[in-house]
Amino acid sequence: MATFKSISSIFLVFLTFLNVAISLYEDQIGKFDWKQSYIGNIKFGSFDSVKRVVVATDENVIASLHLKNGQIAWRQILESPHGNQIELLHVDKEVITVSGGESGWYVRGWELNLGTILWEWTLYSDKSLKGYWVISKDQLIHLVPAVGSHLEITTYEVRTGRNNGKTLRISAPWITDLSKCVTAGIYWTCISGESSSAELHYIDLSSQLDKVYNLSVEKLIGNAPGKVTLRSLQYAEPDILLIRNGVGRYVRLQPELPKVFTYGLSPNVAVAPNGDQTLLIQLESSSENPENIQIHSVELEEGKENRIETDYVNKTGISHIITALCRGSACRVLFSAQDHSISLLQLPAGKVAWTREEALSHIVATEFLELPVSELDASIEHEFDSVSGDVFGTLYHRLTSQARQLSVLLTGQQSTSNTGLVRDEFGLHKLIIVATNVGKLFAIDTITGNVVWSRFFNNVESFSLLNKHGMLLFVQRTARYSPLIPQCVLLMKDKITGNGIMYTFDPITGESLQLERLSYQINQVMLLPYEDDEHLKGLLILSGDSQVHLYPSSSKSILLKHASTTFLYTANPKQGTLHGLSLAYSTPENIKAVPTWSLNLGQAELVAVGIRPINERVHSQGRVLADRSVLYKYVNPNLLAIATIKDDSIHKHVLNIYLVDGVTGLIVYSTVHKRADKPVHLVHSENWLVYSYYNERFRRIELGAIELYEGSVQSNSTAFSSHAVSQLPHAEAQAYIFPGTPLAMQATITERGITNKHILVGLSNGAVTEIPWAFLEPRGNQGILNPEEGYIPYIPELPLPSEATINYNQSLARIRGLQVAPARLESTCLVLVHGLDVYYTRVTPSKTFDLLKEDFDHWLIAIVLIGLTVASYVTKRLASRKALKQAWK
Amino acid sequence: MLMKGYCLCLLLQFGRIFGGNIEYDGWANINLQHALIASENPVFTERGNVTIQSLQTGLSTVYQKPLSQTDRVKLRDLAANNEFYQLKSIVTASDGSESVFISSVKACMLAESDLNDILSVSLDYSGKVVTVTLAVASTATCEGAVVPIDKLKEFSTSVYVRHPENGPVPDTITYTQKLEKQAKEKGEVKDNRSFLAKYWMYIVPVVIIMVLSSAANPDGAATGNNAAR
Amino acid sequence: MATNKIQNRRLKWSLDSTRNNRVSTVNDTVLASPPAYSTSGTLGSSEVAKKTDTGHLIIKKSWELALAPIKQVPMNLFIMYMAGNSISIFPIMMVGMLFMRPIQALFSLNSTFKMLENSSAIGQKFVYILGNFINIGLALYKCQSMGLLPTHSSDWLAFVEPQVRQEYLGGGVALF
Repeated sequence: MATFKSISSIFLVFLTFLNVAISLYEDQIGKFDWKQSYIGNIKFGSFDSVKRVVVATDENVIASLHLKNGQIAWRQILESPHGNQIELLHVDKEVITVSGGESGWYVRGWELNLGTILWEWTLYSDKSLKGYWVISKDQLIHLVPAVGSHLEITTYEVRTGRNNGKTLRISAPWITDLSKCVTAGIYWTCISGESSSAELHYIDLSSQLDKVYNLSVEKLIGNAPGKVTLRSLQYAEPDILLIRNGVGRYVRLQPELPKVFTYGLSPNVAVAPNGDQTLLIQLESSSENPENIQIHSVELEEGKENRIETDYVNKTGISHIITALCRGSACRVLFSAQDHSISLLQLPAGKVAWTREEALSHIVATEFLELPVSELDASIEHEFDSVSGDVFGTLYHRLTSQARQLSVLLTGQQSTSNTGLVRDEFGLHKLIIVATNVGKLFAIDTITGNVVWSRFFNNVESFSLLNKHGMLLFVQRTARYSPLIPQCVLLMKDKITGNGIMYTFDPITGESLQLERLSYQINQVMLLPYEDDEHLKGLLILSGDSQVHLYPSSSKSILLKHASTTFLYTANPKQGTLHGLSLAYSTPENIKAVPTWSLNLGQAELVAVGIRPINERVHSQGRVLADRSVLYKYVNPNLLAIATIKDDSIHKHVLNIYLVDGVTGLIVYSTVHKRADKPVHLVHSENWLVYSYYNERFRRIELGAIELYEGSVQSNSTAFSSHAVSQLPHAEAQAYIFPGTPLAMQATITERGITNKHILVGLSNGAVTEIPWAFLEPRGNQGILNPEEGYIPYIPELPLPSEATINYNQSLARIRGLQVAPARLESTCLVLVHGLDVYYTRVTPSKTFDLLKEDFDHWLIAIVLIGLTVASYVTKRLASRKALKQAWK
Repeated sequence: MLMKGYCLCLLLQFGRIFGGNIEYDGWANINLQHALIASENPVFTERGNVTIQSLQTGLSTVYQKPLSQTDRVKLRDLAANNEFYQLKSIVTASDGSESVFISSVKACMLAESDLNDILSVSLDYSGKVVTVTLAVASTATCEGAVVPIDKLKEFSTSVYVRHPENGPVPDTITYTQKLEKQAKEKGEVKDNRSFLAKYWMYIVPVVIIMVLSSAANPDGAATGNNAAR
Repeated sequence: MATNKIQNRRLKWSLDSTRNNRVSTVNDTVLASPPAYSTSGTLGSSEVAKKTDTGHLIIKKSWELALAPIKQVPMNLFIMYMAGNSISIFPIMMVGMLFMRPIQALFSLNSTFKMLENSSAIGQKFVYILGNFINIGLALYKCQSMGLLPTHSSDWLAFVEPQVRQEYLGGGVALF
């Protein structure tokens, strides 16, 4: 009985240790990946309590942020921001939003705590006229002004959308310019006329009367030269700000005579309600440190002023306050800067509680950068660099570096200047340089996801590349050549002039090397593939007037050496033409790009242009067939893949795919899909191409794959030249049905190209799936391929198992792009997914074949080995002693 | 010899894409002009004419006059200096529209191949000419070649009209047929034959053995009986 | 006593010419020698016979040695046939054995032909070496039929270098 009890108890104890794990462990969630959620540039904001603030952004997103740390409590992503914007945000017992534009207006009510939707109704109105929305008590008032003639006011019940059918029509010939009209509380006001004869008109929208109050501006704020503008204060009370010559006057609208407060305010003042008092808060630059911001608060009734210093360093120019709340003497001010970052200020302490970098919600260019090796490793590597020749010098060098290694081993710490940014053995610790649409440049650490440094540029915008925004980011020198510093270059467009801006910087420290405003528009940019003596790759810029500029000008000599083998191509997306240019006619005085070939794809819209990644290595040059012969791949490094969509009367839309050699202009292969439409995404890698399109006939998304082979003999085994066309490649093509909507596609890339290739597809439901290339490759060679290769038979509909999503349960909103980079480990590829959210992870297409498993028990094996060796010696001894004893018997 | 083999390969590859599938047949007239002096703004002189009677089948006639002595010298110099030979083609389609395309090859490759070149006229699905490209069949490039003048007599051009292939369509029919076949194989194959028909293979040897043993036994029984008597 | 015995023994068996009479008087049991028996006997003729026989025998033995590997060829062929063409432990062991035996025989060539060190046997050695090479050839043929020899182009695929790129291309979609 006792033994049975003990056995059963031991068994129970063992049972508790038994667990079944199939996929990722829960504690592995944050280990290899990180996710950052963003909301966008804030348009409206309102505090709903002392704990949270509800904001609406211009990405058509509503979110509630915790006031303590700025984290998102809940976030609701509405329709696509093109054509749909949030027009009204009202926070009371629930959040009421009015958003929409193109397809009508959606009025929705959201719950404060969790953000769940409570009610929703739609309103249809004429899209061409701008509308204004006001909420007063339980009524939603929609106002549509017609310039120069009248106003139309419709009242709806907020929760149900019921209106009494009447549209009040008020004649208002004084409406001249809608930019001079704002809503304030339940009033709608306009300024008409110029300076001295300016008149203020306002109407009470909730009164259902067509009484318009007109007042001359002179009477309110006196006569002075200067244009008067109006600004709404986003406040429940009917208050406006009249601004003249940079000074604002606070006006409270009342039925007969509005009340004007006498003190001058700055144009970006905000109202902070504080119980019955009202505080006006404005940001100004501090008198002590001009870089910091100072809060200047004015009490509305009495006019008492107060100035508080803050520790917020203003790097971006103008900031504007979104909303503020005060409780007694403690105030919370939420303001956003020009670089779309949101910060919360706590008064009276004057401290910044948190900052959110919302610029990262629209990333336009990414580049992965390898970190430099630690100083100790660098010194080891440079041991043999100094070819001085004397024995004692190298001996001394070696002794000192070994002594340093020993000290590091014993003390366990490094006294290096580079605090954390050193390369690790597997190359997984990298720096991601990210350029955003608003003009802010970030460097993000891949292990933690933190921003290492950032830099903001004023008045810049991105280029428009095939319906997407993009900036150009190139790595001119990597961190491998210490002591030469690494160098990157970012190309942007000036918002005002449209000319190019070139910014050269050191990506590890963020130090700026040169900011040059170019005097021409950028047409095309090429990073030269050869390095000069300082291991710097030059940058070639083709300007809009077909002139060629080279930066830095010291690369001219190496460019001239290779001028006859350097070619450029430009594609004109609207007209569908391509041109090839050659630099062969360059002289040391003048670098010229001369046209060599041209292509006219008809009046078609270019939807995708793809070229193989520059740092891609193809490991095997062919495929092995069943009879042990080789089918060689056609790997053309100058091959361009071009997809165009043409409108056709019979076939509606026709998709054309052309594979063009970029040096000679020869069309190597072309294929056409009739009744195929956007979205078209293209992935070009090694000797194959995968593209997605929408099949209008069957109303589904399909993927096509094309693979190019040379044949059983290589035409030239040593060098590949685009001029030497000996045979056109043989192409195999196949198509599949794709059960999802792709938003972005990319192929994994590894350092040596040995691992399998997986295609990463970002779907519209927030998942990023991996599809192995083995599923997609054209099965035309199946009969002659080696059956032991393990090919997968053709399945016309691609399966998307849920284990294939690389972001398990972290759905990503509005995926815009995927960027991949190789790690130093052959099996691993690093992936960055950006859109509204930013997500980074590692992908191992062939599983981790070059790593030991995580729980590899080193100690157990060592102990067993040592134990066995010791045991064998001991037994040998014992056996010899025994034999000796036997011999003496 | 190897080069000629590859050239033949190339011609065959080009020729494979005959019998295209464009919708409306038409004709096209291509006026060829070449620039024998390499410069940034080249001056083009007449080279010849190509008339494609039918874009669907690719039948064409080429008319080129032989090179004059000065032209030959210019071409030889081009080849010796490793410069590019540019070709300008003015395409007049059957609907009257005109388009101009330029294309370049390395002059030394052209010279070494004895002026055998290939003109590739690519069409899109509606029969419009996308580009006209000049190519020389070869396995390797050259970096300047000196060719004797008497080899540069006249051009022998082969014209290939290339059509786009029809894109692949997901093949669901054969897949569903294969699935049905597999289901049929796996499903119960009802054997409705009689018991005898199914198991005759096992019954017959047993019967034979019994017969034999009884044949042996009666003899044995007979001899035994005889012996016993 | 023992020493006396030993001395007597020695005395009994020793052929001392000076002690001839004593021996005969002490021991009367001297028998007459059988007919056609002579004491300085049979050495001469056997030597002659051995000489001729051993020479002949040596040649015969050496040829046997030389032809031994060739005699093993049919057995090797049978072993090869039995082992099969798959790549698993048994065929590999058989092939290994087929390889090692001739190679070891070749290396121990001198020790095998040791007994012929006085006479040169170039022909036999040559035939022996040839036989071993034939065995090695059989083993190689077995390897070839198992697919282990790199005779096809796909075996050298891993050593094919990627082609050197001669022209460089850059550019993209027009940015303005």
